[in-house]
Amino acid sequence: MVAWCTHSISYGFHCIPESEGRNDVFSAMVTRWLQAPKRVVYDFSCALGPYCMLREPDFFADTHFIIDNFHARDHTKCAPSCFASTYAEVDPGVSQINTSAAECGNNLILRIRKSVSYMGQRRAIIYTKVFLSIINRLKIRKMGYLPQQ
Amino acid sequence: MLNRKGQNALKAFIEDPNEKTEQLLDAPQVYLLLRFDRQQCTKGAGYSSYILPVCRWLLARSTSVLAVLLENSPPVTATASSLPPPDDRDGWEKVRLQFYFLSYISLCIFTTSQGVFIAWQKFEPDLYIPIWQVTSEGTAQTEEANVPSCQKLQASLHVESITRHIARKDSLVALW
Repeated sequence: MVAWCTHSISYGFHCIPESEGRNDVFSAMVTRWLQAPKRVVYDFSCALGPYCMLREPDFFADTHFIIDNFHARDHTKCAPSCFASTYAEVDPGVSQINTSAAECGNNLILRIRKSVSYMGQRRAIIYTKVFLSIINRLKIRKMGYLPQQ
Repeated sequence: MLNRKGQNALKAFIEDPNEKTEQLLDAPQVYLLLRFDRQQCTKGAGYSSYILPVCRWLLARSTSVLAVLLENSPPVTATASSLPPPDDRDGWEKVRLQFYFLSYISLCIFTTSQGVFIAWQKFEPDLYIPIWQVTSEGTAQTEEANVPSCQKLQASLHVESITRHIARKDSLVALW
């Protein structure tokens, strides 16, 4: 699992041995963020929000949990108040966010997933870190923040 | 779910409904409800008579739920000695927060020549607030009022554990 910013720049990664659950996302945020993010865009935010609030309400009290546009159509039983489209209708800042940034980034992770599954912990961490650093650098250069060579 | 910012925005709106509703950006659900009411029910002339009681109920309910959550959390269930050994059968160490809680993570233990200090790392870099000092002569708690009660409780569990190890003359380095 990789945490992405809205420009598809990876913040960090967390290896999941089994299926991904709310605890994985919660653990990553609680252990790596000094302050909870202002907005968390996740495909299962409707359950992640209450989960985080139940476990660390003070830490997450100012956080919005938003379901991205791509997955919102599958949440037929959820209230629209969780959807990114609802927030975007009110807040222009949200409307400019690419809520599918994580999907784009996860597509890149597929390239190394098979290799990493055969590695030990130490090698897998180094390998993934180098891979994501290269991806980040290429994207930052593409955005024009680093000089082209 | 209305978060704390949304609750503050809704509270400000209830106190003065004539203010612009842009302050409700942190509570988009309520904003859309009010916009619908203004456009469809009153045709731009203020709000319906029943919308403010609804807002008051939303605020009271969300505030009470958040207060109950803050009061009853986080549960302190783990100490260093009760944690299971790492599962390294396949060379991987599991670190999921099944047993750890924030109150446990944000405590730091310093071993100095003056004894062992248990400090709370506030969510600012390099800011540690000491809670307990443990020496071979005994323990002493600091008079810091801003430390949350869950941190104090978790720290007291550490103190018990450290005191036990000092009594047995175990190595503190091995403990941490």
